[in-house]
Amino acid sequence: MSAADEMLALPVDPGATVPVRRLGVMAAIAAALAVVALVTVLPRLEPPTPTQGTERFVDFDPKRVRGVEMILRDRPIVYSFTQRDETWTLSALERSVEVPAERLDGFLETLAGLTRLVVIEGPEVDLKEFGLAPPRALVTLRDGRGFSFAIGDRNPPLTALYVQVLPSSKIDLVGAVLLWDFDKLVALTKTLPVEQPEQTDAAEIR
Amino acid sequence: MLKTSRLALALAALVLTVAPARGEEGEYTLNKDNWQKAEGLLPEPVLKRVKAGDYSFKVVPVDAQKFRENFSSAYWAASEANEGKYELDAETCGLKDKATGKNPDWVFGKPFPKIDAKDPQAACKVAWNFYLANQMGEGVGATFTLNGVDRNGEFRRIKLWLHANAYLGRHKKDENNPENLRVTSLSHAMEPADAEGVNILGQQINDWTSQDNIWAYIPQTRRSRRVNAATRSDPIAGLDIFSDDLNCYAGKVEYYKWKMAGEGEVLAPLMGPYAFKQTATDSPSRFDVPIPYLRGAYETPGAEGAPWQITENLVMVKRPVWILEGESTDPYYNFGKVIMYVDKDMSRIYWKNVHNRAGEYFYTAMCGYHFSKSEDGTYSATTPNMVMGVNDKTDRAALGGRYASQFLERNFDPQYFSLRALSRLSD
Repeated sequence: MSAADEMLALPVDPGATVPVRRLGVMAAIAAALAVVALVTVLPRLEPPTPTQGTERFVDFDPKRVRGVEMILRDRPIVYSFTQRDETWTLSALERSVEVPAERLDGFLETLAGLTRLVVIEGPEVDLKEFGLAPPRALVTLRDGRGFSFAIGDRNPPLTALYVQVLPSSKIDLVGAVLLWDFDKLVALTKTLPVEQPEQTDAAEIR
Repeated sequence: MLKTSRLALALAALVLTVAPARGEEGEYTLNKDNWQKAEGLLPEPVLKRVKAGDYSFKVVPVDAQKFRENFSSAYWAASEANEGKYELDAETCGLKDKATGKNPDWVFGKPFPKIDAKDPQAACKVAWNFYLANQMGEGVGATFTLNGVDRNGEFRRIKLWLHANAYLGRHKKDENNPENLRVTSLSHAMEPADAEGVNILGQQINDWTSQDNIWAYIPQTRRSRRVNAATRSDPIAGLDIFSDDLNCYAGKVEYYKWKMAGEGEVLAPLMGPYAFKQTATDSPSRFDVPIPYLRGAYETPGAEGAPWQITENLVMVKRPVWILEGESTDPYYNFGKVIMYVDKDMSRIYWKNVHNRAGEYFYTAMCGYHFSKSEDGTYSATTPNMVMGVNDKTDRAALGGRYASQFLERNFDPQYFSLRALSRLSD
């Protein structure tokens, strides 16, 4: 006879009671521990969601912007980019041309993603030292409320750019990637043949 | 009188023969005295350093046709034959064989030999041409150093070897690819003592969606650990150089969102404008390539300028480029927008400017290459030889590569690139 058969052949005590209550308590404790583990341990196994560490330069939704206007220091006329039906059009001096939407979308997405790296303020701040008097360009976004900012020089190692949200007197330092995307908008103005007006004092554009 | 005329004619003929074509310039040294010559030909942070006297470069003329012949004639023939065969998966930028609708397991030559800048997918197509050209050499290996250099000279040196085997873009298809890989690599740190024995195994799976598989073996714990693919944007051992600097971009094409930003010309850093010779070894599948050493200013007595600039055996040639933007969708990837300058014909990325996630520019990598070719010209390889990574925020740099010899292996055993090999290397 095998050991298993011997076990089966053992007499069963009909009076023995199953410890139902004890088993129930143990099951409840196990369930509670499982819930605690689900709530506390499992989320820690997931990598944390990356967060933006610092304050946004400007808070707006790029998808709501319907127009971008810019005045350049060396070309003091208003260039207007207008969006209609997913198409962006550049206009100046009563002429217009359709331009690639990804240039505008890229510029707006970059602008919306920028954070303030440094804020410079105080009575002794000289805007000229930051390329903001006159600025490299004045840019206005039309997103229902509209706001303008001035673009100045890059910092000495070329890593960041001085900008000023108008009419504030504070100067913000933001990532130089803004200038890269802005220059791509400026390049689009070459697709629009316009007669250049007589040069005016660049300071007048402020 | 007759003699004088003949002499004049001979001199004129000599001048016409030797003088460069109109618009072309002979060899010259670019430095702070003539930096204007490189306006529009170098990324702005680099030109700024030339102007400041940090860098001087030897610029040499190049014959465009001969330069093209750095790649095998088979490569160019295959590129031409690939016209119309491939397309892109719109969502992932993955390469698709038009005939099967699937991602191919082998593509030799450029999958997209003609690029139209107005094509919305142009940037992704350029990226694929680049990625596959990297792999034409099949298997490669070299021992090299990573040198951290600041204004006071070298502050850290790591010596390691790296072996890699490519499957997707090789000259001849390798049927023995059981893990369906595009490329695999194995590296082993040799010096200094605190890094010795650290081994890394990398795998890129041939599909459109998976992340790279990376395992690191740490000898102190005697364990291999899986590493996140986004670590390719982490500084290597605290130096100003990143795993993604290999070839100026070392990830899968699908890992970035690519945009065409423009086109232009740049000065391209090379070990020489033309291909080195591959020399035969005892093994019919292995070739050696002797390479002159790229000496740094920090190891050159009396050298001027930035200590990390290269003073010997590096030349610059003027090349037409596509200017691409790449941005990773992985939130753990440290780089934000990356701007890359890619040779229109040879598909090499020579320079990249890197912004961080906040949009702040901080880093430029100069990626130098050399070409090598077999005796009969049927097999060629293009290999990254040097990365000069410069952190413009900290005014510090790292040099990577600069090996004096390499081997090419056309028949690597796939078992060599395995987790077993990873741990055994340091046993």
